[in-house]
Amino acid sequence: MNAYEKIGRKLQEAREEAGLSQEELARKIGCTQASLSNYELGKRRLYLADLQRIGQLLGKQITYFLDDPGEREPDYPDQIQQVLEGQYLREILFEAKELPSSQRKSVLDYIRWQKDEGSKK
Amino acid sequence: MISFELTTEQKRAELHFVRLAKKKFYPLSLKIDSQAPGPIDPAYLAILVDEDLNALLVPEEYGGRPLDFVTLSLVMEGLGYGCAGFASLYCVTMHAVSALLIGGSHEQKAAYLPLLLGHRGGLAGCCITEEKGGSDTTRFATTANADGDNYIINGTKSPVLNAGYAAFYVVWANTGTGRGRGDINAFIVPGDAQGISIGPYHDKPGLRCAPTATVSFTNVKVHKSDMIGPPGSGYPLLVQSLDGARSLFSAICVGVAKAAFDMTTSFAKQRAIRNKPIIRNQGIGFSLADQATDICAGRLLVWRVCRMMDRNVHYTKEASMAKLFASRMASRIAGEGMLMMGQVAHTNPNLMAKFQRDAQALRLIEGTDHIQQMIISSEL
Repeated sequence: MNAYEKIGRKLQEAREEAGLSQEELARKIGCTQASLSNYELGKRRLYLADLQRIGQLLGKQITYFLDDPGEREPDYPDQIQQVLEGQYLREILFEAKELPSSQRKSVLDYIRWQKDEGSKK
Repeated sequence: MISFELTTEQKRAELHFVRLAKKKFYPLSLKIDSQAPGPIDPAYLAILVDEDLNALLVPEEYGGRPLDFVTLSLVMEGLGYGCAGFASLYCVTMHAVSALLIGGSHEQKAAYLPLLLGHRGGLAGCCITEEKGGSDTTRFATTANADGDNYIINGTKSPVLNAGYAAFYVVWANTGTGRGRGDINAFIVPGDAQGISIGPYHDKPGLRCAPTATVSFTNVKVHKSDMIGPPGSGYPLLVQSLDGARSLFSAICVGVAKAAFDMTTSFAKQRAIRNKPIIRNQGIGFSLADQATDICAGRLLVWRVCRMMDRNVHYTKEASMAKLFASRMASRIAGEGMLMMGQVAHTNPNLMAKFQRDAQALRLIEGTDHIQQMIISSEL
């Protein structure tokens, strides 16, 4: 995946997290849905003004779109391997994989709520 | 509907630069081209001031009289017609200015842009490429570490055009762990900042009239207000400003191609074999016809991308298309000129040989052919 595809993936995640469709976000930033789709697919490079406007609308800093967590956490695959050994965790991950980003976020929120509830008992 | 007709003002500018090329640039550039690598020739700096060229890059509110990008492309083409080296010095200044115009604050623009105007006629530089990084603009070894209200810049950039002559440099550096694009930021650094040292001038086959050198930053302190744009802006700023610079470098390529073509055509009309000018031989005449057609096509690609810049729409792919086509074309036309002029072009000093070497160097600047192809294919 090249740099623009990674930035586009982040943009898609942020848009879905905000609960916006491509059409809705495109309208807000003043471009066509096709242009936004190209940004998300990494087929078109985002200029600074575009990123600033999108960041403001989605409540994200510019660095959110540009940071590359894959490179920042080189031990991540090993950690994942350990986690997957826990009961049900592999199934949860595979089921969540089929969900759009916004629903994955709901699942994550539910898990965190469960943990909070558990800690109160 | 787009008009392909030049305005009276544009036609006048075109003619002016052809005259300037023949009167000043051709004799000067041949002399500079044959010299050992060294500082920018004072005569070139004088032309920059006399022609008040930097004013064309700076917005009115900061003292300039800016041109639209289509007209600016004609200026670049005209300068490229005269000397691609001089045009490159100017185009890099435009690149640095455009980074400021895209992401800079009013205070930054007001502080730095006037340094380029009037009798000072300063240049500006862009410090991007690093010896180990090549064309990889996603990782920089040059660091800018936060220190209270300041950043401390350390690293080496090479090659840098306008090194040692820049009123200011726009320096791309890494402000974090060096593992993400979000760590890339651009800073304005005054040309005389403490800790900047300029390495030896590079000896190179092409663009010899545009000196390049290594610029080293050793504990160069800049205030946090010298960062261009909010933290993390460096990468998209670089992408956008490079697109603009590529578009204008394409215009320089068209200028070089046109200069080579004019020289070859003039030669082909005058040189006769058996009382017949060689342009009447189809081998020569048809080749020149192809060249004339290519120059027209290259110009239209440049105008298209410049028109998109004027309309402030996205132009990455179009900039790379113009650069790819125009730089290859200039190299091919100058090469054919060498062939058609034969022995005449193979005696030093010689303008056609300079056109050919300059054209080859233009295929590298602001991204090689392969980089342009990568960009275009990524947007297909």
